[in-house]
Amino acid sequence: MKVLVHVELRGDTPGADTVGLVSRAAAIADDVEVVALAPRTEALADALARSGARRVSTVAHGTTGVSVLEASVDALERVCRDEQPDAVFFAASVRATDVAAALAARLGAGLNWDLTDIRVVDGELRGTRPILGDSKLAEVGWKGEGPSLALFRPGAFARVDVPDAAPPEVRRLDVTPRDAWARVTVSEPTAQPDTGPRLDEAEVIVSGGRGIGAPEHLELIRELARALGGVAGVSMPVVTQGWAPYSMQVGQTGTIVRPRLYVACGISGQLQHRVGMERSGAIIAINTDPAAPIFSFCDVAVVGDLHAIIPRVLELLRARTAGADPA
Amino acid sequence: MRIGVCVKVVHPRAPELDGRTGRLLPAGNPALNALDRNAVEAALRLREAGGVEEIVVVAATASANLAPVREALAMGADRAAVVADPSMEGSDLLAVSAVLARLLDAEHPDLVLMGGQAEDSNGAVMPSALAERLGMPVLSQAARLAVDGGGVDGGGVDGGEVVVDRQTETGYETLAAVLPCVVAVADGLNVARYPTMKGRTDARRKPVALVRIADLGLSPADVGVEGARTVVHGLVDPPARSEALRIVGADAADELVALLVAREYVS
Repeated sequence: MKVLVHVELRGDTPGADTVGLVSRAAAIADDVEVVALAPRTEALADALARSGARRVSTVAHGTTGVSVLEASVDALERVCRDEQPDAVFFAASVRATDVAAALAARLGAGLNWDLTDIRVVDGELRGTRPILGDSKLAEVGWKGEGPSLALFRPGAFARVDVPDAAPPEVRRLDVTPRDAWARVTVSEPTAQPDTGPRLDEAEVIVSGGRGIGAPEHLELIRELARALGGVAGVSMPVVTQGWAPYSMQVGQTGTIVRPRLYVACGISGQLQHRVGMERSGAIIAINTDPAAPIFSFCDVAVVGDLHAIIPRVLELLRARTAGADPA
Repeated sequence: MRIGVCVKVVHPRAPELDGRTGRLLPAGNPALNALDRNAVEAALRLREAGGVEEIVVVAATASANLAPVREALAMGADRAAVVADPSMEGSDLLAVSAVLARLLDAEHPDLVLMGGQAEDSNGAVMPSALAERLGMPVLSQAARLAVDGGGVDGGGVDGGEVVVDRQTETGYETLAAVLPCVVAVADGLNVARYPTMKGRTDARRKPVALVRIADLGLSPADVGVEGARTVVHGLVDPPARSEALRIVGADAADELVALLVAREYVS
C-alpha cells in the first residue's frame, strides 16, 4: 500500500499531528511519501523519516504572501497522477481541510473526515469516524476511482519513532506556478502574542471553565499550569464571555488536544468541550457538582471548589519544591 | 453585485443506518443549518450597505420539506433555486458540490457566501470543494468580512475585492481575494437576525425555482449512493471508559497532590 501524507508546516517544521499521522501511515503502508510546500528540506526530511516516511517531496513555494491552497492542490494532484497512491492523508486544520476538499473535487475522489483511526481490512482501507456527538463510531470506507482521501482529527495519533530509519529520498517537485496561486493574498498573521508552547503540542494542559467565576481567576489556572509544567486553556464559555482569547479555547470549535495530562477545572463537560480533549492520556476533573457530565469521562474526579483546592495544591507543590513540610 | 448564498437543509439523525442508502436515518424535522443563517445575514448586511442587486439562495437536498429554504427568504433573501430530489439521499461531498456548483453557475454570482460548517456533518469541506468546481478562490473561516465592490454596475463587478480575517488554530490572518470568490463564514462574523412576521409572509410569495438534476446536465448515477465515493460499513459503540477515581472532602487537595506524585506527573 502506498500512502501520501500532506505536510502542513509550522514555521520550518511539521506540526505534531502531521508527524503522528506519518507514524500511523507507516504502520499500515509499506510506502509512505510526504508532500510539502517547503523551501528547505533537511530538517523536514529528518523529522519525518524518523516517523517512517520513505520519500519527501517538496515544492519550492517562493511567492510569499500568496495563499498556499492552490499550490498545495496542484502539487498533490501532480503526485497523485504520476504515482497513483492508494490514499492521501491530511492532519486536519483550517488550511489542510481546504486542501483536502479541493483535491477531492479536482480528482473526483472520495473524502472522509474527522477520522480518529485507520486500518487495512482485507486489503481495503477502513476509517473510524466518531459521529452523533461521539456517541457512536462509524466505520467508513471508499469506493470508485481515485485515491482514498482522509482528514484526521487533531490528536488522532502520537508519534512513533522507527528504529534505524533509513535516510529518506528527497526530491523537488517542479510544479509550474499558475495565475490562480495569486488570486488570494495573505497578510502576516496576527498570531497570538503567547510565545509559550502551543495547546496542540503541550504535554500537560490545565483548563478553566465557567466555574472559575470571574476573569481574574484565570490566573489561578495559569499558576497551576505553570506548576505542572504545562499550558493553560479554557472552555468555550470563557471565550464567549470575553475572559480569554480564542487561541486558548479547547474544544470542537477551538483546539482539539491530546496531552499526557489534562486537568479540567470548573468545566462541566459539554459535548463541544469533550470532543476537544477526551483523547488525552489522563484526565483530572475538578468540579463542585458531583453529577457534572465531565465526571463520566475522566480518570480522576475531584468533587470540590477549585477556588479552595487549587491554592492548596499550589501550596503543596511549592512546599515539595522547597523541600519543606507545609503541614 | 449579485450574491449567491449556499444553504444546507440539515436533518437530525438517528443512531441507525438506512439499509438502502447506508447513511444515518433522518429523524425529526429538517432545519436551516445554523452557520448558513450567518451567511444570509452577511449578504443582507452587504445589501443594506448598498451595491447589491440580488441575493439568491441555492440548496441541494433530498427533502421535499423546503421550510429551511423559506426561512432564508424570510430573513430577506430575494429568491431561491433548489434541487429537492429524493435521489440526492446518500450523496457525498462530490455529488453535492457538483449540484451546488451548477446551480450557482447558472446564477453568475459575484460573491458566494455560505456557512463554514454544517451542524450535522461537521466537515467544513464544502466551501473549498465548491470553489474548486466553480474555479473561484475560497476564503474560509471568515470572522470578519469586507467587500469592495469595485466598479459595480448593472453588468456585474469588475475588479472588486473581498477581505476577510480568517480564524485559524493559531490566531487570525487577513486574506484578500478578487471577485468572484467563495467566502465561508465562521460563527463570530455576525449575529443573524430572526425573520419578522412580515418577512415570513413575504417569503411565501418569493420565487423558489425547483431545478431537476437532469436540467443541470447531471444523471441520477452522479448523485445519491451511486455517485458517492465514500461508504459507511457500520456503526459500533465507542469503548466505555472505566469508572473514575473519586476524591471528595476536606483533604481533596492533599489527596490530589499525592496522586500527581504517585503517577509521576510532578517530580
